Amino acid sequence: MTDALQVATPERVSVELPIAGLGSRAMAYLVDVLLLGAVALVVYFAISFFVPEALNTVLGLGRSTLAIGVALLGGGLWIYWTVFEVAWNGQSPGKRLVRIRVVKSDGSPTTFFSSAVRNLLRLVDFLPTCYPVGVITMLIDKKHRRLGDLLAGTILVRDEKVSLDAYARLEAATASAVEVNVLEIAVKFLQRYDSLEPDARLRIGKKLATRLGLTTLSETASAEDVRNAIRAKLESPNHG
Amino acid sequence: MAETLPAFVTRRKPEWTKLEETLGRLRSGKLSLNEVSELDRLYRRVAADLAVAQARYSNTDVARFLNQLNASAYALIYKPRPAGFEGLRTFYLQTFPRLVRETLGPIKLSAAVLAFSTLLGALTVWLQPETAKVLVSADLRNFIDQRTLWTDSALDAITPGSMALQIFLNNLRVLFGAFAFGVTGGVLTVVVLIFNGLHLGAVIASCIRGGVGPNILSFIAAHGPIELSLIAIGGGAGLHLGRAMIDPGERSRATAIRENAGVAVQLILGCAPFMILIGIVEGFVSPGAFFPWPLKLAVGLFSGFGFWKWLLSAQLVKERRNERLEPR
Repeated sequence: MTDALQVATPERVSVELPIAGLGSRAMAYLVDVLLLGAVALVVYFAISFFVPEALNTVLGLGRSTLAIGVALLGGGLWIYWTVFEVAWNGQSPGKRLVRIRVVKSDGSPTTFFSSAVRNLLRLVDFLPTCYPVGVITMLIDKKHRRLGDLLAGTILVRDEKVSLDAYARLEAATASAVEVNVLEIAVKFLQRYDSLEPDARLRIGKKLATRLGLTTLSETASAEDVRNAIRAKLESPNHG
Repeated sequence: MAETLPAFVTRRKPEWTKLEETLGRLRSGKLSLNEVSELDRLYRRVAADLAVAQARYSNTDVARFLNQLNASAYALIYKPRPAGFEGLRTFYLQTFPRLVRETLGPIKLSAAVLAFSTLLGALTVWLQPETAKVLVSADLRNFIDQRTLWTDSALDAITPGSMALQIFLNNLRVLFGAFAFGVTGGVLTVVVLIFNGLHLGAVIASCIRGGVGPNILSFIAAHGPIELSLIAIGGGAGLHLGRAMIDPGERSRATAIRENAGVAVQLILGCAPFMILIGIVEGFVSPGAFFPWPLKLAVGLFSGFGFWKWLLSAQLVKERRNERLEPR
């Protein structure tokens, strides 16, 4: 991981928070917007039960009333992001789904004021439409912060989900004889076997077999055979 | 001799799982006192595990897992205390007045810009009445020509409630604009202030010229002092932010911007409730002749005086350190 925020916790351990990029942030935003859109749709249909021609009624309102409506909408959006970020530890529903989180630039959890600022500044980042200001700022900034983040002193980081299941299956006695990094590659190989290209399976598998000291494999062994041999060597028989 | 990776995982995994579970319960609700001290113990031990993993098993999934576990534990354990009612009280009794006092320089500057442009607008229209065509909107000019004030007739058309809301939103726009445009180095903040001042001055002058001077002065009397103060504070917040961009002083520019933005936002948020109050006064008290003008004047002067008295002298005591509201 190239982009990461180094945080020294009070326990004197350095924690690394991978910084979220433009893609995941845009994705989280889309999810939030879809969610808000769905809510708006439900509200619209609810209203249309009581008010006939709801849309035309709204469009027929005076300019100043419409302006008030737009301002209230903006305020509502601000409350949505700020309240969720404060209550859900830096995550809105979209961010939670994409597994990213707002933290302060020292890695500590976001506060009400930081979230309030970064979401107020959405208005500026959004200008003139669809966040060009924010996107350009994020492309220039090394830590992918938009203007609101720069002013609020916040960063978006990724919450990674790492599974340790593969390690639980390892045969302790065999694995202890293998170098840590070879073991790690072997575990990854077994995990990702199905998503690898067919010739990559064989190529990587054979190399790994050599490093693991599996000399019994014949030259003509298929990728499947190689995988089974590696699995048999590493994993203890009492686990699936 | 270093422990092998599988042995390390097998030995320590139960505590990692336990920490994950405890964090889950911390997120969803209450932990018993025993569980809290257990959490403290678990967290420190897992922090130690991370240090071990970084030294011996760096760049493995185990190291990444522990890194992630530590990060989420750190975020939950060091979560700032939610600012409840007590925090709000401290904010208005101490923090907000202190911040206003600390940014008095930019606030004075913004007030001066506002006053100067108001005067300029008034003088321009007074001396060159035709400039009113540019500075005062057509609707307003029609009202003045008919020797009525828009605030008198507006009441017939819309209810005071919706008028209060409209005025509140307009004020909020000005206040927020003055602050947000601070990111242009304060340039657009000054522009916003000048436009508002010019407009205000021009409206007053053309009302006086049109013979409805007493009406407009009586309209402004009740809410004017605080409303103009709030706009001056908003402008001051914008200038304070702009100053950090142009002249960060001994701090790095990024630090200066972050710190000044924090102050500016607190100023704006502090002003917001007063915007609501003043919008209500402007919508219900100010228009028409229901309240006599001496009463409006008294309300205006008294509230304006009280507002600044409170800001400038409220509790000049040190804030308690654990009541941190500032983003640091």
